[in-house]
Amino acid sequence: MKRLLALTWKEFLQLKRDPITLRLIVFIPVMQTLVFGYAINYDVKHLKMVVYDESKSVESRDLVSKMVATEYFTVVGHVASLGALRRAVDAAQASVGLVIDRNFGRDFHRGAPAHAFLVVDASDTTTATQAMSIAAGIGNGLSIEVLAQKAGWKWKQMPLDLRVRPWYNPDLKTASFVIPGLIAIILTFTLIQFTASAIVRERERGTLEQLQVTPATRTEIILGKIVPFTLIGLVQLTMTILLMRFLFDIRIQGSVAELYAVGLIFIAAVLGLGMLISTLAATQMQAMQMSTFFLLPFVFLSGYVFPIDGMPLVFQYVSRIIPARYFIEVLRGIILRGAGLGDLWRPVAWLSFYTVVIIGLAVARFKKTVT
Amino acid sequence: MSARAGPAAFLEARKLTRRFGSFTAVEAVDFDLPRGKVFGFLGPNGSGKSTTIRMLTGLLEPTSGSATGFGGLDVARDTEQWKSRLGYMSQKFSLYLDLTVGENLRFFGSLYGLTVSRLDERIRELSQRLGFTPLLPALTAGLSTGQRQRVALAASLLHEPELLFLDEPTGGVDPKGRRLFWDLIYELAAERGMTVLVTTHYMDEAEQCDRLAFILNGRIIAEGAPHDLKNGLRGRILEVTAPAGADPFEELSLVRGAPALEDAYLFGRRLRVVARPGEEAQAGRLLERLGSPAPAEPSLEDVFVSLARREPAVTEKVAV
Repeated sequence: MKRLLALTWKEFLQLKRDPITLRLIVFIPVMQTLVFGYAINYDVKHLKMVVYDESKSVESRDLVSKMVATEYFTVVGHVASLGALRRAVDAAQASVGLVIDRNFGRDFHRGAPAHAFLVVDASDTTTATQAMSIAAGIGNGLSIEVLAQKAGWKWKQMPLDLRVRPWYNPDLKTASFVIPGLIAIILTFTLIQFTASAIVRERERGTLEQLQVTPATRTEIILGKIVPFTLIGLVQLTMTILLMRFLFDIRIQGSVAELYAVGLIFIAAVLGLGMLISTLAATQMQAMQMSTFFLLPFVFLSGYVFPIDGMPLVFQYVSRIIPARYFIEVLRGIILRGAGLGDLWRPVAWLSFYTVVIIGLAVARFKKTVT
Repeated sequence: MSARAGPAAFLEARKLTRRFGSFTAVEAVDFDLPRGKVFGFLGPNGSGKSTTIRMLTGLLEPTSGSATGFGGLDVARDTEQWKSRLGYMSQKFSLYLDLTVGENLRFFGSLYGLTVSRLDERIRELSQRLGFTPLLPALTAGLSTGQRQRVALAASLLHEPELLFLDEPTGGVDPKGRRLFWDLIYELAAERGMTVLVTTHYMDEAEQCDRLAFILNGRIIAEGAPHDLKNGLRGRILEVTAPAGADPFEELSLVRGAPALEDAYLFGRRLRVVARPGEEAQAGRLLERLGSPAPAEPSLEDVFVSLARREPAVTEKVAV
């Protein structure tokens, strides 16, 4: 115990002497929370729109103003020809072009279809899909208004009322989806690399050997790395939670204690991965490269950004061996839905299982390589 | 094979062997470290010196064989206790460069379970004795090779080990630093009865050891006190100085390979030969063309070269 204390103290002393790493520990969670929280936004608003209005009627102006009122479209210019509209979209001055037929105003009330068409820059699929569904909605709404009038429908409500309730994230904020998962990504980013390079550095410099001739046991030497880095992980976890609460106004609906408990299991898993890398890498450079190898699947296959249900079946299976997947499930459950460990036992069990496997492998390999 | 050093042996290595794959780094090595003596391992790079030390410190498991010491401990069985009673200074500087000298000493001392007050006392004693007290608050990274080496020695002595392993400790150190270093080692051996095992390829350092073992290709080819080892060659070394007109290199090539000679080499203009046992007279005649050959004092280098020549024929035990 006394030796473990000395080893931990030594690790923090070294950290104190390494201001860059020290800053990274704080800087990475803050930066990533800000960048991911603000930058990733699936709600595409204020799409730039050019209008080619051949009709110049009350009805055509009404259509444009209804579209602008949704806040999804902003008129950036009027053009006088199809060619000009095409050039504006080609040059990315606008991502949407609205063409309104010459007879739009007249046809609107005659029952003959009033023509308008919308061109969308679909090179960005998210934007295009959203623009298309909103435009279609506006078209339907206007048609229904006309029909209701013609049919003499005198009630205020529509005949069918299907209401959608967005539970857990009533404002449909992307940040609510992104930031809880981000906790897993931040811990992965920093801890795998710090642990791996801290151990490799000791081996490179010969200090690991010097530690091993002391009476300190291998378990103590391993714990001497795990304990300080776990503390660092907990600091980062706390920082991200605070940023999430006060900057993005996302409250933890479930139990904070449960969140930390599962957080500790996940921290153990990433530290284990870091240790595993340290036994495979001969230099700090190699350790960095190998860490990156783990980072990408953690980000892309864990369901952090892309929904797992949307992946091809093969990748859905691959995602099952990624511990971050389970931790993200738990994070979203506890933070957004207020779920308890009872509801989340399945991902918690899988996460624990992989943690035990990883730590077991790491310790076995670590023991082999240090002797 | 090996002479048992009797009850005074502090550590006994028996048939100690280490293989790495098909390569045998150390083969069935037998020796005793006498208590309170400085025992030297002499041999070229890659001969198995470091591997032997690593097995004796418990860093490396032997493929076979055993090491017992400290009055009944076995390195494989009582590893933790064994480690707590030995000191080890590796050939590669291995303190934390980003800690201060004082922090390094405090850290390693606390791994040996020293109390804070005892640790402070030991740090004060050792830093004064080795002359680095002013460096205690300095970052280790800024120290010179000689300073680092003295700090590393202090780190390995904090817990007053009964057995000290030094793996090529004085590489790249200035003569004054080496002096300071060895003075302390000999003092601790003589006054505290500390047993020391040192590997070196400095002949002058080897010369001062109480006992020496020559290692070649993972085997001990000779062992004994430096004086006794040299005695085996006494009378067989002849020297002659090449006269002004003669080309020493040509003279060397003329005698080299002669059946009476074990070896021949040059020291400046002096031609030095090692005669085969019983061929001293014949060897003397070979050199007479150049002047009158005189018998010379054998050096450890002569001993080593002469022994290495006979390898791998017989492992010789020099009579003590």
